[in-house]
Amino acid sequence: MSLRMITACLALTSACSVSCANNASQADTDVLTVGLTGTVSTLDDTASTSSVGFTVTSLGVERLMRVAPDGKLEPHLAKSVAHPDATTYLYTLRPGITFWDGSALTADDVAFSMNHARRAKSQLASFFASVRDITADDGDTVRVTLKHPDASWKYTPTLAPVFQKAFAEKHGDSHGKPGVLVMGTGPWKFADLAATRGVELVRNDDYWNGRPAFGQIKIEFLADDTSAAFAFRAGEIDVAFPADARSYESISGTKLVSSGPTCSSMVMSMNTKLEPWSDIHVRRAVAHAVDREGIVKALGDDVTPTSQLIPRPMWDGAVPAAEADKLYESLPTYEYDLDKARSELARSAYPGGFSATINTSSNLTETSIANQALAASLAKIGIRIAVKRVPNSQWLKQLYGPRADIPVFTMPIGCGTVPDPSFYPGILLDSAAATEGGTNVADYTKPEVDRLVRVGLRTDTPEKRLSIYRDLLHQVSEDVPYVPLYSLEGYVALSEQFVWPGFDEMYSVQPWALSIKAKA
Amino acid sequence: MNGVSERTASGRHGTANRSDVTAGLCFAFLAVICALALGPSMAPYDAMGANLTIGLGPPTESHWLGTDALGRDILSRVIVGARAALLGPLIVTLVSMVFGNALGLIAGCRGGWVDSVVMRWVDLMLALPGLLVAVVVIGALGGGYWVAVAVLGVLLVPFDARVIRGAALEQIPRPYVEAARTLGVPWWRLTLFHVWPNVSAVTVANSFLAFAMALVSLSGLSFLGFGADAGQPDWGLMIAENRTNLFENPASVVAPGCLLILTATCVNLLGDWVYQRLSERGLSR
Amino acid sequence: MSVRSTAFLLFKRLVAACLLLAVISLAVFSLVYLSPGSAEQILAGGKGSIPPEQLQRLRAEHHLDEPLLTQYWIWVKDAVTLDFGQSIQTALPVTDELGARLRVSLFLGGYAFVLTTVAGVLLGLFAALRRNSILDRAIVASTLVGLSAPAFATALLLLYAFAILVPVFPAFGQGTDFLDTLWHLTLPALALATSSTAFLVKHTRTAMLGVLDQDHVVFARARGLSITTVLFRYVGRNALIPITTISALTFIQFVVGAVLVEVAFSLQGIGSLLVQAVAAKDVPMVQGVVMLVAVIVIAANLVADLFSMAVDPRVRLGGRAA
Repeated sequence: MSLRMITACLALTSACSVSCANNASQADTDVLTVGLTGTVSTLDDTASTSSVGFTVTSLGVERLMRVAPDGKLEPHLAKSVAHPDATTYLYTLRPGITFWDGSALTADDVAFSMNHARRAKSQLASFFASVRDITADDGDTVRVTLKHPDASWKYTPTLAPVFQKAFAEKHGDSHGKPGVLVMGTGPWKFADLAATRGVELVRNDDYWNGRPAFGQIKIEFLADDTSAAFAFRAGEIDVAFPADARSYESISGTKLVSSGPTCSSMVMSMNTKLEPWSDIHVRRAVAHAVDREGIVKALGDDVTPTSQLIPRPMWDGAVPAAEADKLYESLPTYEYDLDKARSELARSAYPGGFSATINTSSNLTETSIANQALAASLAKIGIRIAVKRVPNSQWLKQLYGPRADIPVFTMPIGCGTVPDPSFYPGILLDSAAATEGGTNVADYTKPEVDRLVRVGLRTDTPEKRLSIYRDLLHQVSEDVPYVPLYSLEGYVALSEQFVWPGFDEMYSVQPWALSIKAKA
Repeated sequence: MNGVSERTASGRHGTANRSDVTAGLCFAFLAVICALALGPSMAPYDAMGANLTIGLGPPTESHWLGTDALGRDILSRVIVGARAALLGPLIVTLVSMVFGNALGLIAGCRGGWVDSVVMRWVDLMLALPGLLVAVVVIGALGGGYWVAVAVLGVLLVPFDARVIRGAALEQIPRPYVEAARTLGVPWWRLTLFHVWPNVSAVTVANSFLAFAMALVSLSGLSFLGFGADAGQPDWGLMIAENRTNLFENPASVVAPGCLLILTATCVNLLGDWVYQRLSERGLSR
Repeated sequence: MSVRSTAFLLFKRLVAACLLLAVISLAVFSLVYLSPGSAEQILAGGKGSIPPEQLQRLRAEHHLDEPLLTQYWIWVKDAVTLDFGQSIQTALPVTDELGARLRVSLFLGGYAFVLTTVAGVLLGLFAALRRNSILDRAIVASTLVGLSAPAFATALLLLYAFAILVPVFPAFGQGTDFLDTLWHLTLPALALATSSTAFLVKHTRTAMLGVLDQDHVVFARARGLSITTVLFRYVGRNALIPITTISALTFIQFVVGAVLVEVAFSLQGIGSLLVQAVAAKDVPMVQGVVMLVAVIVIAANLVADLFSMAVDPRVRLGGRAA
């Protein structure tokens, strides 16, 4: 699927008469106003639990590496990467980069920052699980030593923020918090952080990669997509990243720019250890009864149906497109077929169907429609699902267990941080994660699967990986612990005076506002 | 009883009639809503029946008020929604009426420390932000429509209690109470069989207001996600869920919104009308 | 005598208030404690795959493994020194957040209160003076519609009408300086006021009617005094007391009970804070908000009582058992 480029302005010339008049004060394109749904209470990502944390911090704090729109890894603060043996990575820094206070970026700062992100208390610690140690070799080289080969490691330097060591050490626990903020190298400097209202950034005139276009960026925290959309329609914000694209488009009256299908997806899990879902025929019946087209239609066609647990875009940049396509054509799928679903259910211990509950987290209200559509399609074979909304803390408790009451979940899984084929198997299929607190929500355990998960992670050769993950997807198709529903897309709403060529879903870990240009 | 006293001088007859006409209209509207709620279902489609193939759409010949994102017929949902709109508030009203009457009568008729304790509590409860209390309790208990109904029922008790106490206090100085006391009627008999019948009209009038308040508050809780479960045909929830479709199918928001506001307004107007009749009767006495 | 009795009453009320705060805080603490959620998953960012020892450390750090009463006692010890701890969601001090939110809520509440009072008293007055006329009915009926509309629906309507169709007011945000804040909070304040004007109109109208029918007023008007003079000299003062009482209650309800409007307009007030905190099982934050609201309510009640004692001699002389 190609990128849906923005043609909003043409379609909207009629609406323009209102919002343009209102925009008089914002016609000035030196200030960019961003509306985010969520709040940020610290600019130190290693301490942040905010869902929009990266989006905010990436404007000021940079990373060693970045993922380009074509899925390839590129050096960012690093100049080059060397991989002398299977467990060693050497990152050489780009020369001449300075922090906002004028001091030079050194390997010491980078090693400190990565160890800071690795400490037990860090929210990013899990990405460093395979690391033995990280040290500064000399003035401009950072050495990372792994405990064992790890194919997903190479993406971690796209996440770990690089801070100034002196500043971070000076402020200790208050590093990143309002009043203290952080010291970075990015194109904009943080000027103010108000935990309830928003963030203000000003241009870093000495930025190493050219002069940033916007003199000021204002980030406003909004309660939900609906109010963000109203604000957008009223011409009060220039940029937003809506989660619920359909309603946002409808209220804001603008056409969103889409990244196209990403490797993030919505997945339904069925607990393989809990009745009645432990019955394999029930799970297969569900796989046949899920009306993906219908669910996608209910969501306003803003997502793309997907039937494999490792979404196809995951292979972008890793293997040639033709080979990935060949693999995906050969994989077994459960087509939408109510007769097959009914006959599978008839072979189960519950031929007449049964009742169940799917809970929607209060933080993920946009999944409520998807859950209702899913319930509607399962109702056709006699599986009656009640869709309820529960507080987020309760939903998380049910999700991470001990899993006893609620055997079915639907969860949006964001891969944006680790676009590697090992990502989904690692979190969803590994039996080590089928424990309390673990992410293998279906409690799916199979020794053969565990073996494949481990081998896949430690293999670097693309051809070998294709065959390993083919075997893995065959296993998943056999046992159906999870039913993938649809690929999520990244969306951005842009006011008329701006364009964002080449928008992709990896924006949140890069200084993304550099890509936004004033329209000619 | 025409209820127009000598003090309402000439020229006000017409207006009194006008208010009766308004009340009549309100009554007729509410009767229609009741018929929708209680009668055999007039909904053309299954209110919960999703039709994923048609999805969201504006009004058409087959769907007079259009459909929502899941292809559910708005007209059917609005009609079936009348049931939830009446049932929940009705239970809230009954709960608050029973306990409110009991507390109000006891406070009014016994007086003394009982009265001051009850009234202190009532003052406090009235000052509490009801919605916030509901949010804490429902959020902690896990939510759901019936928890919301129960919480609102309790929250409205002091509202009833205060009014009933006031009405009871008005009765205490009357001769019949004195007479009954002299005859040695125990206080609970006096309260239940002598005073209460005389304040029951106030109870009725007040119940209308409580009903309207419950209806509006329940819809607010649904908006916050603490009321009816996702997808239920509940007017308040329909406004909240469909507000994102405001521009594609305005009817999906406007229809439940208008019905909700009209119903609450009619109930409020009827309550006012009953009050007015009562006070006119009071004047003519 | 009067001063001493007032002081004694104040003392009594303060003791009662402290007891009440203790009861409310324990009740809410237990309620949230018993609620079926997990704060450590919120602390851990909700991502899962957190090593057990890390979860254990988080639980220990926030005393989540302690029994209810121990946890409550830990909270009380800090709370009496006005330290309400750190929010589970943001790791920032609860009092900072409360302070920032309270400013918004007070401004919004005050603004809505002014709108309601001005509109309510004026409309009530007109309605009373033109009793049973079309105007009277129109005023009463239209404010009744406002009362019957859920506040979030009114908010949506105003948002649609005045931020999008005729964009004269902003759709979100809470402003920076006074005038900017005033401009930003106009629509939310209007939405709030719409839902409550009916009460004030009704009370003003009833109070005015009661006074207008009194013999001295009828006589004054018969003497040919202008209606304005009568209003100010005879009517206003007597109608003042019930209106003040109802006003105080309205103001408090606006400050602490604006959650629907706050959510509809994305305002960061105390109501929306409570909704978020409850969903995240953020006990320190829930407790902080509840204590703040309780103190405001109790204080306002006390002030209203003192005020009516000062104004109304009947109350002052103990006509009401307090």
